[in-house]
Amino acid sequence: MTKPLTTTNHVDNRAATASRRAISLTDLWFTYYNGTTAVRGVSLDIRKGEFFGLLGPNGAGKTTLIKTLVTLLKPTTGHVTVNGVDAVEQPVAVRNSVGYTAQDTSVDPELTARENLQYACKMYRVPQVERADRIADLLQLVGLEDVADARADTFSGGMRKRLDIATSLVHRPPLVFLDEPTNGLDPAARLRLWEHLREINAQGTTVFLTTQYLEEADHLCNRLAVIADGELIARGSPAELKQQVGGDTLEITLQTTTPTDVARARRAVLESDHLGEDAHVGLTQDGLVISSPRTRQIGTKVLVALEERDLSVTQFNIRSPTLDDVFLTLTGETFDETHQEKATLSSTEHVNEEVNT
Amino acid sequence: MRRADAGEHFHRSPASKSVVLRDIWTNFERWNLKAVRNPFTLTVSVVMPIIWLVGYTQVFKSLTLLPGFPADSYLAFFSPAVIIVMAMFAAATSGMGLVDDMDMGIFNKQLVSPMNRSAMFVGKICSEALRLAVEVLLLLALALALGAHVVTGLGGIVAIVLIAELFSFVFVAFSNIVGLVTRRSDATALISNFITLPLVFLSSSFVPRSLLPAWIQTISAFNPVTYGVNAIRALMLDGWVWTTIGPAIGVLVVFDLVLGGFAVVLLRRATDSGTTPSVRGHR
Repeated sequence: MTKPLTTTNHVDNRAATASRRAISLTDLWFTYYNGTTAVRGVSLDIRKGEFFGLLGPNGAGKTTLIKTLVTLLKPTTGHVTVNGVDAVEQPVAVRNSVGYTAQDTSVDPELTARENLQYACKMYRVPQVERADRIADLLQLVGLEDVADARADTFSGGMRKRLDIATSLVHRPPLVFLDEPTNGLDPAARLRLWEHLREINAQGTTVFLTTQYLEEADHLCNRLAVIADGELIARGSPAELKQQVGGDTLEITLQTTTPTDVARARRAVLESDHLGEDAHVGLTQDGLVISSPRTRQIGTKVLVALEERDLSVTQFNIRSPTLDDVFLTLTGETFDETHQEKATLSSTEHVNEEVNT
Repeated sequence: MRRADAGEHFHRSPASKSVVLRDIWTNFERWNLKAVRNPFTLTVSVVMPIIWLVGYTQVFKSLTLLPGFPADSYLAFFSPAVIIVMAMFAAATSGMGLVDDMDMGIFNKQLVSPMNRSAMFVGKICSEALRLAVEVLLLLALALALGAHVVTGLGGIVAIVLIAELFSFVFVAFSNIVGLVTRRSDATALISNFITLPLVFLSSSFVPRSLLPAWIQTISAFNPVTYGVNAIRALMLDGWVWTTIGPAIGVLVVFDLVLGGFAVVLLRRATDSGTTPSVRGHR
């Protein structure tokens, strides 16, 4: 028996919108039995085909939010609709239509990669005739064809994670959830995984990813939301979020740091005509700090301008805004509330103020 | 495109019987595979009872000379106790497997899938039952090779395996209860193994009940080990003595229902989304 999910006899605008949505959250709250409220009034719509990123520090509520979306947790209040289906009323329908990769890699170490995938196929009742092909495709997608028959306990962390992701795709879900998939991976493994995730999204799968790294979200996602203390505090494209921070920062260390030299250097940079209107040039203890949406394009020109005036640069560094910068801009607080972090933070703020003058 | 119209066909009917049976088979297969991949556990769970069988029957050989001892050979008398010990050791690993799955996130992975919840556990228990049956048959073969007899013949051997299963389920349930309460694999192994020795001593395993001190006699009346051992012993030594076997089966069924029921309640709670705070979860 198939339950009709929306009325299709007559035109219904709401239904039409719903069918374009992969996820619809309305005023979602979640409180654990120990009294911790992990999600506070989140409303969110995600369209089909999006690569969506949920950005936030540890303990912000990312995992709880994902768990309510994949039917591992029931919302305390609010509505969760996944692929047009109410997650509380029809959890099995939701389970059939989503893939989920938990934060901690979950593969059976005693089974081979192929056996793990076979078990997943059976869990999702993939017809037997299709299994072999599908498993071969997935092994290729995540680059594990050569080790398909090796036990998962011989794999590196990155390989296990890729296998884990492949097992969540056996039923070809139109929507996948990845909870901090690159956590604990080395940079090479991370880059490789990014490629696989892009490929999955390019094949038409909607991806919902959580991460602690703005860089990662920037590379992968076309839309982001930032979560802090269970509330969404910002949303938009990666570019829009970074704009709030004010772009990349170029830090320059000068050889001579007498006040006159530093002031001369600042004048040189300002007069060099390479900076846009929205750039800021500030002073630090041993040089300059320049921030602009076009920092990467103007960097070399700035260095040349300084060199031309015999101002030697001993060190320079271009830094992307980190999630911490975004967070700082949005909330005025950093991730970690340790005293030391706060101390560094206030000195950063100080620099930023100088930059803006 | 393959994902374009995902909505409709995901609305499947509630799981039919054949789907549930297939889910049970899926999990049965997985646990069988895991058992074979774990030769260490498999070996220990067979070798340990063999050491019991050979060791104790040598040490206590002369007990049969005691007046009133109901058997001529201590091997024949003690083999049923070893089968019961074997069933307890086998059962102790059940909860560990569950906790390991929870630790590794495989449990949540199963919960996120459309797989039937009960089938997850039924398949696992079937695999454990199969393993125990093989172990019991191996041990019986050894006992027979060493000179013991089963007076009830082939039918008796089948009955012995079934009673061992019935008995084992009490401790499978116990081990899963400990696992679900502690959520720790080491604690589950320790507690489940810890109760084995006292329960064996406080029963008719080593000597007939009539030769036990009065206080142990009293305790042994409430000890499932007594009933498992007595029923198997009757089948090996005395024949189809229904006055012994019948009540023993009855008592074991009651133990099964009580502990099994409690385990099911805990499992329901663990599988029903949102009713238990995640133990190791991240926020």
